[in-house]
Amino acid sequence: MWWQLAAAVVLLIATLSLHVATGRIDRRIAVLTAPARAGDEKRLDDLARELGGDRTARAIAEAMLVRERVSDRTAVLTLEIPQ
Amino acid sequence: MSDSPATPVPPARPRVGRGFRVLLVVLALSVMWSAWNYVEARRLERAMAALQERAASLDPPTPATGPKYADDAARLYDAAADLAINRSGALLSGKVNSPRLEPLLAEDAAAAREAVDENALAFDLVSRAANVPMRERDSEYRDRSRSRLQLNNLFSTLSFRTRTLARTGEIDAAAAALADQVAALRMFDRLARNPTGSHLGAPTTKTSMLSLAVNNLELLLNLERPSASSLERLQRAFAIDLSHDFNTVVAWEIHLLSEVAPTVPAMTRYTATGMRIPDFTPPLVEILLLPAIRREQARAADVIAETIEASGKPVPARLAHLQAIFDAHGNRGFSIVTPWSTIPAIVDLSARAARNIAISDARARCASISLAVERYRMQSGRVPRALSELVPAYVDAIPLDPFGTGPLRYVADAAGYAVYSIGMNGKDDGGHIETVWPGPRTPQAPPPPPDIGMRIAIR
Repeated sequence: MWWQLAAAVVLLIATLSLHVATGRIDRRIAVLTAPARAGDEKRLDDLARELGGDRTARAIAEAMLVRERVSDRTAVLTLEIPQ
Repeated sequence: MSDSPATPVPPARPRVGRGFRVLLVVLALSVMWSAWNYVEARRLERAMAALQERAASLDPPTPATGPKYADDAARLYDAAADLAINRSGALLSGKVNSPRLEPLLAEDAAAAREAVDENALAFDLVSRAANVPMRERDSEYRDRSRSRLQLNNLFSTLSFRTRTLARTGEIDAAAAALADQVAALRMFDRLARNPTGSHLGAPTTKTSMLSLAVNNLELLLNLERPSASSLERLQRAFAIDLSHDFNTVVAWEIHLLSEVAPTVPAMTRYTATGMRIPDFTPPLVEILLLPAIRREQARAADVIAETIEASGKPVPARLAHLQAIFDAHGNRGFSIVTPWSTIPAIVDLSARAARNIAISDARARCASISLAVERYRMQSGRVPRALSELVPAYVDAIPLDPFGTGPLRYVADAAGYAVYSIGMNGKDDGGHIETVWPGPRTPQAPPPPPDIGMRIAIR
């Protein structure tokens, strides 16, 4: 019985450690990609401030930016470019 | 009393419950999955770091400077577009925008003139608004987004006006409208180069706009020659360079990947032809596939890094390199992470955008030189024997052929002349140019024209 319990504990610890390590990597990736997203965050701040600056305004701003990104992507990815 | 030995009862062993065994199996699977996830996260981190290092060599998009857009132009556009395009009717619009380099028939000309005359005031206001310095409010997100859309529409309105006036003999008025049209494109370019993420759709839109403007110029010059002052104004207008835009496309691709790399996008799916948002997203599937999706994102980073390498090459080598990337990654068949992959979209965009930016750049250079040739012809009564005769009186230098190694080519005969680039096939076809008009997107790109440029008939 004891070894099975020990195995369970080891497996649990291994899983948690891997999660923690992966989480650290994810944060590093977020830092790496931050410059590319910096413009978005600034726009989000500007728009949220314009809409009132509270949490609701920020949520609305986020939704608006998501919608714009969708339209931007659709424009880029579906537009046929003539010569 | 019989002393039969009692059957020994084995000592009761503690029994592992079924639930505990299941828990052990789940934990074991969880460790395996977590290890996979960890390995793929490391791979993604390395790929993103390498991509950032490569991206440092890209020229950053130039921040928007100069005059900004005003709300007035937006309102004016709405009025003008509605009056001129919608009321004139689809049939007439089709005739005005026909690719044939011919005047309109008499009855169509009358109707088209009427549509333009009725809206002369609106058109004039729009043209004027296009040149008015724009308010600084444009730095705000909503204005910029709206401005971009409306500038694009203003551009279409002015294109309608240019073509109508050209086909009805008002060549100088058509030339003025065309110069306004290119001014609208320049404003669009300024807005679109603002590195805030809102330029995302712009590089592809700009090539489309420039292409339409060059088509209009070709129509105009083939119908009649504008006055000297109109020619000069147009030549200044067409000195527009969009060749920096491939870097903008690559920056956009990095932006796209940077958005999705840190997390699994909950809503977005990418396909080769666009993005769709499914009604139903099974989050568990995404969670289980997270490591595989990370691996795909790492591959996308590698693909973009290779695209950056291609972007540093001259146009023919760049196009060949991008085509090789497209062939390697464009259609790899279906895999389990296909719905989450940005790679097909990235390689498709790179290949198309590079090709179209190079073609519209070549055409704009040819347009500018054709206008210089027209000015020369007006002064001397004949076309130049070689483009070098235009330097320095009409142009500072003959632009390079983006598809070749030397300057743009030129051929002239009694019927007319052509200023051209050798095009994507890399060989001089003697100025065999086919004007290609905007059409619906097709799965296969149309075969590239032999030479790219402008042929003007001498009347």
